[in-house]
Amino acid sequence: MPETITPLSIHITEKAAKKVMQFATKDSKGDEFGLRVGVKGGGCSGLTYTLSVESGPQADDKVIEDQGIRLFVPKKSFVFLAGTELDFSDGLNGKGFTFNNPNAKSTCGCGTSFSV
Amino acid sequence: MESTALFEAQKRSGAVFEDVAGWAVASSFGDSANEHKLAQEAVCIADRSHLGRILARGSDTLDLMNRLSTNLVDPLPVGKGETTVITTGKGRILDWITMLHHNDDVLIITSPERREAVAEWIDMYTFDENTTLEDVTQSTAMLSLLGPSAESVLGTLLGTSVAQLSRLDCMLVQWHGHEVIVARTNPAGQRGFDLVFPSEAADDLWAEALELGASPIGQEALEALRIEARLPKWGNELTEEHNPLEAGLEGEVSWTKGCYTGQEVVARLFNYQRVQRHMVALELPEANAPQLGTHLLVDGETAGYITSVSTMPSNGTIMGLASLRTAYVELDRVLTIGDADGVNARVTWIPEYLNEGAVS
Repeated sequence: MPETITPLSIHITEKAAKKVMQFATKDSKGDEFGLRVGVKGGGCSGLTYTLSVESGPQADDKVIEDQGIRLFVPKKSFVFLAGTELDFSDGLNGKGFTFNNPNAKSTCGCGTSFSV
Repeated sequence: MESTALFEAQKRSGAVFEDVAGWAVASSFGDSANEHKLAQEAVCIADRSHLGRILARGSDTLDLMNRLSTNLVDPLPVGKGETTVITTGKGRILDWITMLHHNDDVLIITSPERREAVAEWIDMYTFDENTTLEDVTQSTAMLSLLGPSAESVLGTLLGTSVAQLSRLDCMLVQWHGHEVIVARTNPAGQRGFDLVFPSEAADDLWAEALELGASPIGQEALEALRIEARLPKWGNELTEEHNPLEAGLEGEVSWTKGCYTGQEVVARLFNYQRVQRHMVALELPEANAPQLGTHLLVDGETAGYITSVSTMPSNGTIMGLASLRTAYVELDRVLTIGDADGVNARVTWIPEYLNEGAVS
């Protein structure tokens, strides 16, 4: 059965979810953990992504569950992230966590920063 | 027009006013030539309350500003200040600001026209950071003391030495129950200081500075000093059409601190020698000063345009700043002014780093 995609949400791939699970286990974040996904000012293009494994959401966070992982997204960041798919690219030339963000009009050379 | 807290005091000192970004700002106090001279030989006092002042509070301010501007401003210990350029994602100038870390808070001083733009920009890029902004332009006043005697006069005025302050150092001084931020900012390229303090203290500070021998100076003389010091100004050399390298602000860019908004563009322009134009200084003929924006030609081709002009009060010569296409940036280059056949300007200064061969 095809997976239903909600456009105004944030998705995480299976591979990225597994990686988050590894980090959470390693850091003993407990059962209520989640991945906090946000943006902050800076990076070459104006906005850059932030990622951290947290033991629980903050008061204003939007909580999204995908691939068995809870994503905590600060409200202000969500506007810039809606529709984004979070993936993980490993190997020697891998970039680690990558963001496929439909809101990004341009990204910087290294791909960690974007503008809308 | 809005009036600063020192409008009446300056009027009593003989000020003639002009409109700067919607503020009534003293143009002169009757003798710009003398004001210009005293700023270089004695001590002058200027009301610069029309500049924007934003107080940034919170533990993430320096980190945030370091990500949004070109210079290294994190760490910036208490008692230190820095100047930096806020740039857009395309590396264009949003404003050239001064940051003063005078206590737990950071005072951000903006160009007169840019206080809303700067505040909105910082606010837009504040997400999770512990940073709040308060526009204190109306509730505070800002005075500059400039000239070789500024240090001693200010020491007497405040009752404490300011000699230990190096460039952009700042401190808080209690003055008759008011908190005064003092910073050695070298206004208009002269040795000197800026003071920021509650508006209600303005009249007394002004009066006492005059009693101690400071002479009021207006925009005409300050503008001449600025152009002589080759300092770019918002609306003239600094616009959203230019990047910092085009506006003579390469010294405001940290090449090693890492990413900030616009960094990729600014670094690429510099490293690949792709800066399209540069700010230069000009000597202009001693006739009518040309209008801002007047084109400068070489063999009938537009090479650039005039961005600032001032008649030097000391000797009547006319100096200017111009934005010149890189191919024409050369000391002593002669440029035809607009359509005026045979009337030439001469390039008297180009940015130092061009002399070092960084840009061919």
